Amino acid sequence: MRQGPAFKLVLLGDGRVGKTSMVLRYVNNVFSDKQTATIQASYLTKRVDVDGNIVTLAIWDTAGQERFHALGPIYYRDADAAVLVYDIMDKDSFARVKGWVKELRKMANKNIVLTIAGNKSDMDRHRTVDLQDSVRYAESIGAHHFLTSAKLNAGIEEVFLDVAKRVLELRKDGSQDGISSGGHRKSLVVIDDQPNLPPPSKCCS
Amino acid sequence: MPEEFVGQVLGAVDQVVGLLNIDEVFRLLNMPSNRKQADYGTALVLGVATVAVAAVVGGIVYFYDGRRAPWNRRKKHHPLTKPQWLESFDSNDGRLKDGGEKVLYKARKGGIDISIRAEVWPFLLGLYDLKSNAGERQATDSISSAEFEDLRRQCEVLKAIISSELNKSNLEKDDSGSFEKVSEEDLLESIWEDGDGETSTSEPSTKIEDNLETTKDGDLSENNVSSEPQKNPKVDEILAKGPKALEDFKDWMRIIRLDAVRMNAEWVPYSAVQANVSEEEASRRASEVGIQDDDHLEASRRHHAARLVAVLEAYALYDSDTGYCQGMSDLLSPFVALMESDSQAFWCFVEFMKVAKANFRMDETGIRRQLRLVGQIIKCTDPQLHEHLVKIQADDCYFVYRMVVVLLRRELSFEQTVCLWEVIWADWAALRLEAAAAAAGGSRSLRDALKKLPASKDLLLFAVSAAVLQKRKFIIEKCQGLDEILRECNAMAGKLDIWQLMDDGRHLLRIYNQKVGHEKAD
Repeated sequence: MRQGPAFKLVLLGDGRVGKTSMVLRYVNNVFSDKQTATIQASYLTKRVDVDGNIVTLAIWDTAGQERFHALGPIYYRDADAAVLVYDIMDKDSFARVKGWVKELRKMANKNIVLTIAGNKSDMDRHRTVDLQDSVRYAESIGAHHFLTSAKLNAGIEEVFLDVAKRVLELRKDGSQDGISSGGHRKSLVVIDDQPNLPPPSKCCS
Repeated sequence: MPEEFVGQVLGAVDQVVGLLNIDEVFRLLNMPSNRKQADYGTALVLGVATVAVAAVVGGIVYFYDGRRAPWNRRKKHHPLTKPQWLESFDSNDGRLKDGGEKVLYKARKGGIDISIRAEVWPFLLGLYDLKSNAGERQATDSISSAEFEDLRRQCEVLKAIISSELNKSNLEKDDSGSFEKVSEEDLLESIWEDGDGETSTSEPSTKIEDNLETTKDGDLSENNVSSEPQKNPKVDEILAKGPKALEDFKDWMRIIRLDAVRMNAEWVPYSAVQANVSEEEASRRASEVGIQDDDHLEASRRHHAARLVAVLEAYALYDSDTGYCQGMSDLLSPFVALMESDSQAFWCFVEFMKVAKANFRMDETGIRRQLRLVGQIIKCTDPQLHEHLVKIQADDCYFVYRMVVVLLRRELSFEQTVCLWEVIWADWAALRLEAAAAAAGGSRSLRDALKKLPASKDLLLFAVSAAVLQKRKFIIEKCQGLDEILRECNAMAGKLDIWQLMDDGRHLLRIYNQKVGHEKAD
């Protein structure tokens, strides 16, 4: 049934930034603004045509909360790519992206392809995360940055296609030594580098 | 009473079929059973007899009911009904007549009718003692309601402290560790200086003033009349733990709100009163707990979300070692849906969480114990499947993680979930009852009931194992890694038959008990 290579992709990010919505939009082309919180993770696959090469994307959509963190290595153990998602209206969620990057650097595959996605771009007028900052940050870590809206189906296809392309290129370059690190089941450290910025005081009023 | 009669006959048939299925499982799994050939002969005779009886009973039931096909009958489980429930109380003092034995057995076997769930659950969960009388329960209610209100009040105090601390750290951005060395008095003082402003309603700030005067009082006895100065022991507890605890609570408050507004609305048809709540009431409750981004929701869901927040926050404060973790809102939602009172929902949730909080531990020991047990159940009842799991390195059973964490909530419908849970709670209650009876010399009727329908505090895990075993062929033939099994498990959502799971789960429990018993004897 399966033809061509299969790439393992993991979505990481804070709770309610839209990870599940992005995947469901991409895989099933559906959207709900009442998507329930993900527990543990779900796993979906989609076949993509990258310039004539059929690849299977195996997508792990993870839970946002740190409490399920110890499971992390299961997801990014030999993951080929990680899409780090934040909500453009939520600075905290962007800070979490930086935390994830640090963690992946330590724990994941050396050659992991990183992508940062600022989701909910349809709410641009409420943006609090500066676009330039996030693009610059993405560049600094060698990641590609995308603005997406699962709601309007904007930028979603592009994210996954770009991931597939980059992983394919990497593989073609023959650098197959990627599956070296990872699998540190117990030694996972939660890096808490939340800046002391005030979050939008939504919850305290 | 044709229903009663049919129920009894079905019960007997269940027993026979139960015995048979053990062998059937062995046969299907292609493994030697400990039974002798002669037993198979007996089983065959019993089998033929069962089919005959089942056919007759099926006919009767079909005639009686007329809506269901007779071959579905075995799965029909009769819930505890309202008349049965009301009849089981002594009319004088409102005590359960036989200490709740019959009620528990009924609930364990068939669940509970929707109309009385909210009344029965507190007994199953142990919020009410099964031996309590009406007066004692009333007293419990009023004490626990006052306690809940006090927790809510303390939540507001803590929220005021957090938001004042935020303001402060805003002003002193150069201060690297903004939560270092904060004493409650500093914080309270700063709130006092800031005025209550937009932080919360005016009530907590007056309490804070009282608190300032009495923090060094030392006398922690509760039951003060409301005019007396109030203490905030739970708030103190968090502050005493240091800045990290305050950060945690702040984070929980945020995630609680995120999760509350995106709970599913499956419960709505089961709660007419709450489904028809007015826009005004929903808005009032939402603003009371400070939910802001719920405009896209219907009134019933906003109302539900606001109540979830109120109870979850109180719980995070009540049990700050657990706090809040995603998934807990799944566990709470049915209580909020079926119970009018936040306090009752809260205390039932507290009882539930006494067991379920193991699922949310940061170190995951609770969840790992359960995943291990699922592995042992599979190993013991289906060695071939277990061998395959070992081969593909999935014998840690992480693929059932979600099923275990939120007790199959994500795989089952609302109705199925609460039904499964109440059967699980009834098992817990039966085991509590047995433990209490054992201390007093034992109860024969209880022992018999537990022999007929074995109970386990881990009934869930037997049901989960049963769900996995349904997919054994696919897993063995098609799955070469955790990913594939996990996907298969996720795909079970919406396709499970709850009573099939329960029946199969009990069978696995019987096999497990037998085998583990054997091993012990060896």
